[in-house]
Amino acid sequence: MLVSKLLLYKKGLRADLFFETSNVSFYKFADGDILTVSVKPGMASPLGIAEAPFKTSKWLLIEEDGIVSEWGHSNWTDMSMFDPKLLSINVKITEDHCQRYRKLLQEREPFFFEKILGLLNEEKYQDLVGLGPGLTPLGDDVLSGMIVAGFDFSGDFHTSEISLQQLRHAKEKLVPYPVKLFLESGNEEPLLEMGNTSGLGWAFGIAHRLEGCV
Amino acid sequence: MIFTIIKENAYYDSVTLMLATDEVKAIKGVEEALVGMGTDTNKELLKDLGMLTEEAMKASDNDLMIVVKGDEGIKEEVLRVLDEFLKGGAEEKESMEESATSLESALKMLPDANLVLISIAGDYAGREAMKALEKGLHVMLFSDNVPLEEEIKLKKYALDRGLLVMGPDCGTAIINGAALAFANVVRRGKIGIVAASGTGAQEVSSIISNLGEGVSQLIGTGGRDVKEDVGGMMFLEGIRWLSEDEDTDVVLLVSKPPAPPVVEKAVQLLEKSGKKGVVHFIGGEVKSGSVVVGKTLEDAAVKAVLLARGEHLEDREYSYYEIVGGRDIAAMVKEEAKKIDEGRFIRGLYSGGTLADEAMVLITKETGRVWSPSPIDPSFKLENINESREHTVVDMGEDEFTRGRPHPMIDFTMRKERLIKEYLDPETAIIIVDVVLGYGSHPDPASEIAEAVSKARKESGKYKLIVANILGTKEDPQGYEKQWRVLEESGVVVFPSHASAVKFALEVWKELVS
Repeated sequence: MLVSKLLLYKKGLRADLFFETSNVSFYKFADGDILTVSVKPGMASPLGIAEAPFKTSKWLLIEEDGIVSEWGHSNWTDMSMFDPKLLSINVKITEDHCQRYRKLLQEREPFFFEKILGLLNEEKYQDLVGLGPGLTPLGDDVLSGMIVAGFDFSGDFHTSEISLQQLRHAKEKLVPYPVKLFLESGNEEPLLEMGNTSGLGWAFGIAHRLEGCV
Repeated sequence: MIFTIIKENAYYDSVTLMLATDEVKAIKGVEEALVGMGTDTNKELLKDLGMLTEEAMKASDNDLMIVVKGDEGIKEEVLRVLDEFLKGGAEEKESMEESATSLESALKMLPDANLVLISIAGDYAGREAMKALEKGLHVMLFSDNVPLEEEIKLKKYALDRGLLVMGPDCGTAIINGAALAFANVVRRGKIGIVAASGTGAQEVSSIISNLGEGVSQLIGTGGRDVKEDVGGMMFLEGIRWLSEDEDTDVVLLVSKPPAPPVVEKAVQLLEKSGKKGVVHFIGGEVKSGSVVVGKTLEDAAVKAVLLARGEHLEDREYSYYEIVGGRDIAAMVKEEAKKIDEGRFIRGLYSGGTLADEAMVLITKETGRVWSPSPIDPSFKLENINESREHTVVDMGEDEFTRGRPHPMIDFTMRKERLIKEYLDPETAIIIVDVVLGYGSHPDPASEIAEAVSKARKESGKYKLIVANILGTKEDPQGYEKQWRVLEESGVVVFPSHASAVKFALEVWKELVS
């Protein structure tokens, strides 16, 4: 089980299940923060848990020594912790990365990707927010990637609440574990497996910012 | 026309949405379709496309918008398609609400339930099991990796209260006719089974059912129950239960060799039970005056059947074919031995652990030794589990093979690769595989094996014998006859029991090397 360190700031609090997909459950704290619980190894958001044995519980309690769910108690000591704060960018983006991401996105979301490319060309970054398909709209994923790679975005985030948290985190350089792996060590595989097109959106945003991919 | 559907505060899986969008776009007469959250930018986009309706304008960031543009009259079809996809999601949600998320809520739905099957990570399973026992429920514990001390604690607690704890690591049980986890569609009847071995239990119960008799109860215990530490608490309790069960005439015990004190107590209980008893401890010895000993799983099952029919038993090993008849085995042995082009060793590739054990016992008897990742004799442990030597038997359901992968009864990828590799090995003359049917298993295992066989034969150009046993009943969901036919058509020699398959392989081997 992989757990984000940010969860330690939630000690004493309870989060309630509000939505689930086949791999991920979303829980909300009273302050509106969203905790993600994924069954897949390594797929932890900045406020998330991966490879959890208790994906579907009506509630989770974050306690001093661990997490309690309807399934029982898990101790912090039995989990691996990761710091979602991005420390450095060591990955070398090449033209090869750009080409592959572009090709995959063109295959999977031709219409929206075309649109996104247009906006990038015209530097209409605000229009990326909330644009496109998905639980976290594709435009938000691309923008998140750009932001963590150093793009200083000063517009508004007007998008779905799950996506909103992702963008806010990105601004604070708090990233999902696969993004951290990619940027800090160049391991691309988990990132491309993240979500339906989410990881690919992030990857393209990062490549766009670092290598000017369009 | 343009029409809009808004689902308020509705999240859907991204994959579901993508599939729904593709499906709507494929409808004849649909010009454009957009599915997305009701964000400003998505609305802006709709506007550009001339598709921004009043309803869409009102959608919030957390609402799902579906906007479709196309010919008149497509609406009905679009709604139908969306309904199919999104209702799927909604149904999932509903069933999520219905499917209980805790023991308490499950009991609210089914207040009369008296058994709970627990299959969650081992660290949590013990605690849930204890909760269930405290509520007076019997427990089947499918989970493994439950600590030994916890197993002992649970079983002691259960015994004090007259409850059963089947498991941990119990994969098979049939209670009051309900097949639990990996089990076959078995007739009900007079034979009660207590088993500390999952595939062993499946093999004997299937043979019994195929021979026309049936099973009253099949109580699983998990393999560790019969070892010294747990002392057979549930194995012995199972015998007591069956002894008192009016519907049970014959009690059949199946296990890998239990600790000697457990064997002794089990046999004593069985002798006192007033029932007819058959015992088979794979590769183990039993001495008893009145209890019948099965030499193989097949022999044990056949003997239980004959006892249930009130027939007299001779002191020898029985086979399935004595009851069903047919097949000139001796002629088949000669023919196959003649056809084999190269090699002189047997390779067994298994998905069922107990069957792999039985194969090792039988092959060792005739050949002296068998190599394996977990051999009977530790001196024949394979150094590299992926490289066979001489006669080798591999249980591909072992942890070393399944780490990060589904079990080989469900996913054939590894076994197919290994089958081809073994076939191409010039040392190999004969390959044995098990094909396990029933609930929980692959929907069409025969086709998977057949595919690997034809690939291997094509690549090698040489003939080698491939023998398979089908573990399953005629009523299993995969279709017994169909599975048999697919295997035979691909050039596999098929047997209805594991022991008969291995013995055939051994006869051919003897013919080959003599």
